[in-house]
Amino acid sequence: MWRATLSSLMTHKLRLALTTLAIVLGVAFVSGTLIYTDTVRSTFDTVFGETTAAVDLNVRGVSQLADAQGGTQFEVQTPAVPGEVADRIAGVAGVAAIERNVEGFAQLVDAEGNPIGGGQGPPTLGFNAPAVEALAPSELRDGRYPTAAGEVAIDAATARSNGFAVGDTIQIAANGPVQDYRLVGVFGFGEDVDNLAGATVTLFGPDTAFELFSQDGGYTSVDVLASDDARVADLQDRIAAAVGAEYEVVTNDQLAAESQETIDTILGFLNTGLLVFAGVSLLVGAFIINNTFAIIVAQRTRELALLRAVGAGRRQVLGSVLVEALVVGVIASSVGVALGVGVAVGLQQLLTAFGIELPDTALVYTARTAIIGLTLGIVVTLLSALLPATKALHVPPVAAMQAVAVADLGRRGRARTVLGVLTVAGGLGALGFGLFGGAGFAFVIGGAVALLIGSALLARFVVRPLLRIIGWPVTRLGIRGTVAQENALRNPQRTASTASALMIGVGLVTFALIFGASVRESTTRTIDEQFVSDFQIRSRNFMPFPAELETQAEALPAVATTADLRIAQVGIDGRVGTVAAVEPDELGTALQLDALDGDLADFSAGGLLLSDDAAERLGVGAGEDLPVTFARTGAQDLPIRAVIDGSGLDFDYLVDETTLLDNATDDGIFTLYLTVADGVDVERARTAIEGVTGDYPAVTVQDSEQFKEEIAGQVNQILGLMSALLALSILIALFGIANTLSLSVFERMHELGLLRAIGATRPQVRSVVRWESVLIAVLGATFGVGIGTVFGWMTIRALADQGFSTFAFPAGQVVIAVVVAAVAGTVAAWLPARRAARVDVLRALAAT
Amino acid sequence: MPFSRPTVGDDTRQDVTADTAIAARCVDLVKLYGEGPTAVRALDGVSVEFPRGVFTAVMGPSGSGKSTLMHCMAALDAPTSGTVVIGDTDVTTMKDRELTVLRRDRIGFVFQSFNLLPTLSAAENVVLPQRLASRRPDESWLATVIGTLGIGDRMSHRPAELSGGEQQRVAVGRALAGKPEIVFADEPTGNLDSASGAHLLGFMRRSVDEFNQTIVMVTHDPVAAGYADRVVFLADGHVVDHMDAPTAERVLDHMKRLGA
Repeated sequence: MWRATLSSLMTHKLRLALTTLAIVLGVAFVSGTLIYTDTVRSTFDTVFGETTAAVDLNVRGVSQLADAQGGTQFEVQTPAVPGEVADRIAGVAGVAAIERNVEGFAQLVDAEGNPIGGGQGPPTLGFNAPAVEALAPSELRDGRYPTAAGEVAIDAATARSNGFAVGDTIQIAANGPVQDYRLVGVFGFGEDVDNLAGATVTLFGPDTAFELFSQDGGYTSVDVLASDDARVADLQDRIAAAVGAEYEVVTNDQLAAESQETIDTILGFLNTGLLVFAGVSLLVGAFIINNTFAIIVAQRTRELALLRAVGAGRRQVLGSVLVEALVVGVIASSVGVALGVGVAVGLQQLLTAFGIELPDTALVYTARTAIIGLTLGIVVTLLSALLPATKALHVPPVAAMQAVAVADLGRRGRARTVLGVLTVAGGLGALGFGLFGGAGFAFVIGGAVALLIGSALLARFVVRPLLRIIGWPVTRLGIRGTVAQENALRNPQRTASTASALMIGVGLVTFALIFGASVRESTTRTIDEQFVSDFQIRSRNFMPFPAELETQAEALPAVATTADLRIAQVGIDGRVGTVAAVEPDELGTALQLDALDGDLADFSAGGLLLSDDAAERLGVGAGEDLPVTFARTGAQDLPIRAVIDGSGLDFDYLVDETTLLDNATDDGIFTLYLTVADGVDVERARTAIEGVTGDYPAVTVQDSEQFKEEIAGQVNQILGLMSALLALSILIALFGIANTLSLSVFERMHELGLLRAIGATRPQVRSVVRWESVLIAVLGATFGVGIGTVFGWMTIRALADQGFSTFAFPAGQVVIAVVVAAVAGTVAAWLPARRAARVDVLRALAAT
Repeated sequence: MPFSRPTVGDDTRQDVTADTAIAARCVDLVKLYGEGPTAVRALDGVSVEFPRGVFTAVMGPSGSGKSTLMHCMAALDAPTSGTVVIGDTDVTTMKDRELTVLRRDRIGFVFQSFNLLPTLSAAENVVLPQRLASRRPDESWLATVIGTLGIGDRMSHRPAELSGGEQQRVAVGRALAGKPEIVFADEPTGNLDSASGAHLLGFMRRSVDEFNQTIVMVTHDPVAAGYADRVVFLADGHVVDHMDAPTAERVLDHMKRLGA
């Protein structure tokens, strides 16, 4: 049996290669994702290990938010450590030295005046230069650390990529407009690491840094170096006693664990996101394996029957098919885990191309990656082949004597239909429950997968009518079109399965396109409603900008009013949330809000405005008090002045500026709303405003149209990334089409021989295969558009109360997707068509 | 006897001694299979002419080279050496594309089996070569052929819905539809019962008599050969004999002598 199986594999090398590819790519994607995230994690570990290696203890303010859970990716700043507390720490017995740290943001500017880094990538950090060499996180590569005002040192990677050298004058905007600094030093971290995981790092002289970054006149934290004879644990207790409960003393290990946790959270998102796409590829691969084995078993009915006739047991027949699947699975998964390295590099490039820049270092390939990849690939292959293999069980020995392969779709067909109906119903239920019933993400994913599989099971019922419509223009091409259409129609199940593999990828692309278009339309509408000012000045890199920018803008004669919006993180009902703050009398010039409960006018006395979502979740209304936990001052009861329509807003809570400044730690300005003075031309006003913002490289001035364009651009970028990640699953589906076609070509040898004998030219035979491929591809794309539209519609409806007011169907883009699928179909047909055209006429006619 | 000669009417078979034009011929045709000392000489210097408007049967025992001869004559296979001429066209120097067009436009085929595309209706199968050439079939000629073959009411059916005899008649219809210079038939009755076979051979006979069609038929059945005007006997890759105005009995006798 073994021998029979293996020889069958070797005689169909092309089939083997194509079948294997479906799994190879899926497995490669999975292992590539793991390699990539492992690599990023290890890079961060190294960097943090290097930067905190010498620090024995770290003292910082206790954040009142520490107990609140999740909900934000922003690290909430801890309350500052005042100078006299730092002095107290230095005086504790056993403390050899302390480093007073301040940190903030410093935006470097390149020779052309463009900001370096920032945006959606790693942050642009600013710190104090080390005063205590032994505690320095960094290691000088060239020059010295800055001491005087106007001096800086930057990380070696940034210096190298921008051609900066010690002695140069460089431009930096740190908590203010761009200024010239003299570059006096270049540093790295430890011996090998040249930058902080892609971030740009600028060190200022201690006094300059304090002036720039100090919050409330204190330090961000204090690093402690224990003297040689002091036990760190004892020292920790002594310092804790000296500073009091307002401050916490953490060990090096704790620091490392915390940064590890932060990284894991961020990487967790990335990992899950990428693995979802890898899962899609594997799912498509499973479809193809399933289809291929179904065809192989059908084609081998006589061979299997012969085996049964000469005495092979049912188990042996089943075994021979499963062994073939196992061999395919093992080969494919092995190649896949090896190719994962290439995928990891590709992912790195891809994410970089889409602006998500992470450090590039040596790839980390763990045994876990290989084990997960291999197991997944083999299990998926075996499971996909299981159903077709059981079909082989039912081949009766007498089939060996019959000329025609037995098509036993009768009972199995019914079972398949029932299963399909149940899966679709269950999938829709789970999807609806997940989207509308709030059952969660797992239900949405599970429902979507079930819907896809169920649709594939039922697809054969619509193949015939749909292909008649899709194929109509093709049949106008002449006889080759007719033959192609009839070939696609002759086995609806096979055509449906093949097309379904493509349906998945195209379906998800369609969903993404609909989602993106709806987001664009909805935000456009929101911006039209809420953008009441003439211009917005916004931070380009998610970092707050200095207050003096507002002062400068306000001073412009062309500007009538300014309003600033600050953002901070607060704890509400045990969860971290984003709170925005404006001055009550500036509210009207900043945002157009609708009160659903209470009166906006009451906000003039300060207090809290709450979105309708939050009000519903918390079960509160206007007139009540809500406890809000601030990082610095802890819980404060704020009076709810009004409940507002929160659709389209980035935040659920809005407080008056004074409350925020009095209680929060981080309270930076993120947006400035400007109104142009009466009688001043808008474009002249813009020029004037840009004259001010020109010195702030990290901010941008936009009117409502530009804001819309930017949002559209961001949506397109995400769509592009999703499409690129889905491209692999579409590619796999195309291999599936190629595979099915080559199996079909093999099956139709006689007909091809006949066609050639009675005068079909090679191009005509090629064209028959190619058009069949195009028809299958367009059919799959049509399925995909259908199911993607269902997904999209349900999702948008489910998110209606979160600002997705409009369902938009981007017809043009969807048509392009279908056309691309059709073109891809011709590419998929390339090899099978060539093979069909090269059929040896005599041998084809002679073969039985 | 599986088949019997039609007895109605006069014997209308062509007088092959008359000066008729040649539809196809070959000169010194050699076909080797394999290489070196183990090579098999399927055809070993065959020269034969197939006159226009004549029904020729090619006979011989298994391995005599009759199928190979037909394949080479019909431009389905390339001879190792020698010349094949269809009409006045030397096909041995032609490229694949020219050969394909030649087969499509100037030759008709009837095979033993797998004669029709299963996905197309009988009508579509009949006009397939013209459709491949993007030409309109001659409707009145088509009606004549289909009428003569007696398959007019079966034309909308797919091959799977037709009997074996009907399928072969559709195949003959396809072979004749393009008014080819010559029709090659390879054991066309091989898979048919005797009654269907007799019908089919009768139609082929009539197409020669009524439409002046040229037919070359490879067969090992003396009864089938009895429908022909002329029989060419092959053995071991050589033309060993021929017979004009054959009957099944004479052919059978001759075969026995050759075999002895």
